[in-house]
Amino acid sequence: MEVWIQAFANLKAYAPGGAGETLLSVPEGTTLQELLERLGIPPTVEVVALVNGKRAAAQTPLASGDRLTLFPPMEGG
Amino acid sequence: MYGWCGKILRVDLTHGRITPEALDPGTARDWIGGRGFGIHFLRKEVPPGCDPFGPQNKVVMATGPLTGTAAPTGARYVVTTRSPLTGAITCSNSGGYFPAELKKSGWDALIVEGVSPEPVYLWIDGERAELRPAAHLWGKTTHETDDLLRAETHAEARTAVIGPAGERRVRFAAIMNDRDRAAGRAGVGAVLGAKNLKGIAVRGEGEVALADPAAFKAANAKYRGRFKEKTRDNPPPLRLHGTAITVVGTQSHGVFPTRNFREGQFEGWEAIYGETLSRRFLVRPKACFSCPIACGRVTRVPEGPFQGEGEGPEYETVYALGSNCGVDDLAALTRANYLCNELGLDTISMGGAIACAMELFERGLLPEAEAGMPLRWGDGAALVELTRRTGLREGFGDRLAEGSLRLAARYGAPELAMVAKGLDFAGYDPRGEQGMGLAYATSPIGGSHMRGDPAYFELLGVPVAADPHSWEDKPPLIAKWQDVFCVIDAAGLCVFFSVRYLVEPDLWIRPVGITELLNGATGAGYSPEEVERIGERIFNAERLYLLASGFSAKDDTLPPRILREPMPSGPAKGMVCRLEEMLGPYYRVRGWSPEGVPTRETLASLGLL
Repeated sequence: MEVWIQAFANLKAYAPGGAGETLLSVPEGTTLQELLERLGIPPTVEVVALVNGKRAAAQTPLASGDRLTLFPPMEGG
Repeated sequence: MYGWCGKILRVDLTHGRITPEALDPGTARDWIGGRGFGIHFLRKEVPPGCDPFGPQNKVVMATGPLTGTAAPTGARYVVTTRSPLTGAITCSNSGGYFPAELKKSGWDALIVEGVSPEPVYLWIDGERAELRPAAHLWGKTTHETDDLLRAETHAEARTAVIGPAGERRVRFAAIMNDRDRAAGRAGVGAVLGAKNLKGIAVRGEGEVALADPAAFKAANAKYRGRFKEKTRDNPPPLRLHGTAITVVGTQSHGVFPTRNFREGQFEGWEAIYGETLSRRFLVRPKACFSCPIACGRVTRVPEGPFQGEGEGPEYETVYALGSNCGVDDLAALTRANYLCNELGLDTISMGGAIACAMELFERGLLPEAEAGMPLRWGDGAALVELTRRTGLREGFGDRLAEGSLRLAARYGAPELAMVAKGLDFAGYDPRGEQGMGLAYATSPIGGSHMRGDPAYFELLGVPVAADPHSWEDKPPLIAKWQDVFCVIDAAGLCVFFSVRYLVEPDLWIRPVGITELLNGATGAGYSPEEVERIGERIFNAERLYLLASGFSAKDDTLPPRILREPMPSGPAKGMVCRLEEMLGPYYRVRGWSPEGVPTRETLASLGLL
């Protein structure tokens, strides 16, 4: 299946397309946690992960066409 | 005293008298400083019904015990006064270097009262202070005034001044310190303008005396160490890209206010967010006094019609002058930001007023002949020109200068002002962020995000994440966050560092690190519980002042758009803010009556009877 990924700030370094939204092929049933590992994001790097604009648990299985947004926790605006 | 200087400078502008006063140790202990001192002195000395522009109103400019110390982000002061925008209280907070300089000059706070017959400025050189004529400064921008004041006083003096907007009593005029830092909200600059006080220059070479230097140093090392450890693998996004990176959090959750809060996602967001700002205009990051984050942005628009240089934009500006006006031209909104800084305007309320005017125009309620130009969504040139006209109260700018609520009411549609208690919202649509709705509705100053900011846990994952769409769990959380923010604002710290590193890293943010630093500085021997109670005392005292000013539970509300018009699209599609469901439980958690009035028991427990 394919999912869309867009990452920001320091997490861009782990996203396949760098800047911009990128389509990535992953095995059916891949969970959010597995995807983050597949991208090579070390466990010490903090990630806020949204699936289709909503916070998702690490064990959430992804569905084809899902849009993932990854950004670091932010200290404010 | 330690931590506190133990001295307040009273500045009577009517009689040109400057009087040093001792800070009562009991007052210091019970209210900590900053925002706590502000409401303490306002309640004691300023009649709640008085005209914000009249001689009875006073301006309390107060540092905290950690301001000017080596504590991380010990850079802040708070300006408290009656607001000409809302008719209520405002307490506006700023960092930079002026607050630390004021503290190092030996003063915890200034109380500015009366009205000067002629324009003046205040020059504080350590122990000595004097009022000087400022007729030659009247009409000057904030940057020009900063240059002239430093030339006349001391090259290394720090300044807090008003621009032409404050002089003209624009109801959301700011006090700008260190040129580009703003105590921005709800018209504190207009109050100084009404008092004929152009600004303050201060030079202080002292050091803040610490009660227990070893304990203070240990606490400082511990919390700075926590920051260093965390940021080893997690470079602070605010240092990388400034607060405008926060667009990512709001846009992706569908709460990025767009075209006067009609929508929650902006199609042009990538053109105006932090990474684009870094790529196009960033010269360098800039830190406030004693800050390890450095979220400030020194920027330059190198060419084109909006060419210029200065600081910003921050996230709130990118929202207010950008998405909320439908403007995706980063150069235009950055230029409008520079103008706000130089004229002395709050960017949030400036954007709120322009967005409101654009909606009035688009609906045919505001004729082009009155506006002086077509006010189409997304018109960057109109944005810049309207900002200029507002700061100078020229033409239609004179109407914008009254703020969005008065503007919308004038054209028969007050519901189009996106405000709480008359103060324009920050950049978060409460329909997709329920806790923010409750925070806006119950903030003592109106629609501010900085009086207990739930965006941290609802959107940004700090200190941990919570569901932005739930409302049942929010009342006790919002009350807790509001109280801790009172503590942060009283101590002289910045929220950005404090909510992540100086509190227990869970949703209930116990102010343990703040307590350790306060004790090292002051020797007060506070427990975290006592510090939390002080936060609650400050919040309740502000509530009492609000009630005494004629506000009531009916004012704890939000515009109909937020309460009844479902979000049209995005992740929050179909949602409205469930404020009614949250308010009752919130009043109960607070120990307030169903009418939103603190009960006798609550007041007695907080020492407010």
